[in-house]
Amino acid sequence: MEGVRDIKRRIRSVTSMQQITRAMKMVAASRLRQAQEKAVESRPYTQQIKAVMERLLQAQPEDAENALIVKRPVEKILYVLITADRGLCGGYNANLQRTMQTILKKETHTCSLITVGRRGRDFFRRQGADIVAEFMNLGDSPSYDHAAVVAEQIVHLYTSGVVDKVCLVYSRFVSVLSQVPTMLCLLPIEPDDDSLTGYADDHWTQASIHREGFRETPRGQAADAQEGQKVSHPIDNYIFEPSAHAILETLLPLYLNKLVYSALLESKASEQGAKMTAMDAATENAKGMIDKYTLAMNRARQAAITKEISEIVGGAAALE
Amino acid sequence: MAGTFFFQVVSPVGAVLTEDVQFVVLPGTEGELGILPNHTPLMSSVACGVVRYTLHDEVKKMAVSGGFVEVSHNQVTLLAETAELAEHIDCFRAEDAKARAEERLKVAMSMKDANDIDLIRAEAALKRAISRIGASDQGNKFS
Repeated sequence: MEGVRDIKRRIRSVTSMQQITRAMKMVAASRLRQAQEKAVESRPYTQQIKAVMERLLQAQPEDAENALIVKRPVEKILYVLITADRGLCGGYNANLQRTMQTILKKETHTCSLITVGRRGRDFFRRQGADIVAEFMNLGDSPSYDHAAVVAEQIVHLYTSGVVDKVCLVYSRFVSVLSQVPTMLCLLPIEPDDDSLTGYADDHWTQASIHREGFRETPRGQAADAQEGQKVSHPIDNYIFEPSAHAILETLLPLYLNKLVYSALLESKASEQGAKMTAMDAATENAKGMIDKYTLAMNRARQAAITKEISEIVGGAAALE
Repeated sequence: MAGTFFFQVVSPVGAVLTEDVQFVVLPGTEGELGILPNHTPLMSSVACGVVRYTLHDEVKKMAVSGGFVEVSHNQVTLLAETAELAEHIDCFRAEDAKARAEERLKVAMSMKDANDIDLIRAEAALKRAISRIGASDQGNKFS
């Protein structure tokens, strides 16, 4: 049986671990909030860019022959995997890696990878996958610039004909307790695919955050009303400057940037959500251990006292 | 004044401006675009530069770095990759950025096997810095 001092030392060490996990949980909670707020802020942009693209394609359907829209026979597929840089977030990275691996196994075409985040890179490098580019250290709040760099690389690989299809594998944020690894096709862009355009913006931010945002103001409502009007007369005689084709050519990369940006934000939120859950569980476990050790310590102390008393009594009895 | 129209500027990091304005001048890729109320429907790409708008008879400025504008039904929507209002621009920082960009441009041009991407990036950075300085309130003092 361990002595009281040993047990005390253990309790101290578990207590300090508990302090750390508790702090990490709170940090994760605040970062989760940050990521969600950013997503809410980017929502008007998403809505507008989507609306402009739809109207543009409606007005000039014959101009839709953009390199990023036209489908080609698929020979090589590029997967973009978004993971975290660091661990300590439960099964978040493992889930993504497993999903990615399953996809790769099933795939009959040649596949290459772009990894965002250290975890995914390390794993697939060990697996010997073909990693064409890697991005790391995006920090705790991914910025639009990061997304633009990633998207630029994707567009470059696609337009130069190295790959014929690009899919994004990231973690969808359902709730703090649940993050679902998801695959999404980025290129070629399918303009009327609703899952593509509306996926990241409404379902996960609305429930948790109510902010005085752009859309909630009376001005925003007026804009909505006007937009409704516009939809009913879609074929406006727009003047295009320089030309519809040129506009589409600059719009689509921006749209792609935005998709990657949303996915980065959502992944970050998922990571922080997973981390929060994991750290909460760790804190609970530490509490359980402390309780167990405290009980053991009290027993040991009691036993020591009892032993001492019986020794004294025994000693006194021997003297008589 | 013929009245006002709705002008909104949105960037990926949020809505920058939503106001009823009287007049807007945008740096279109094909030259400056002036927009008054009841403008005909228009879509144009927007270059990096300074946007001027008249709000309550007062001209205000902001810096944008590329994007799109859509005009229809007295509603002007500017989708910008970045957009900063004049009052949010730190002129000294913009001056620093400009100096840095010029330096990088020089380096990129001096190298014989000049990497095009470096050159384009440096140029874009310089353009952004110049438009920020142009848009900032203090900008005129320095130029």
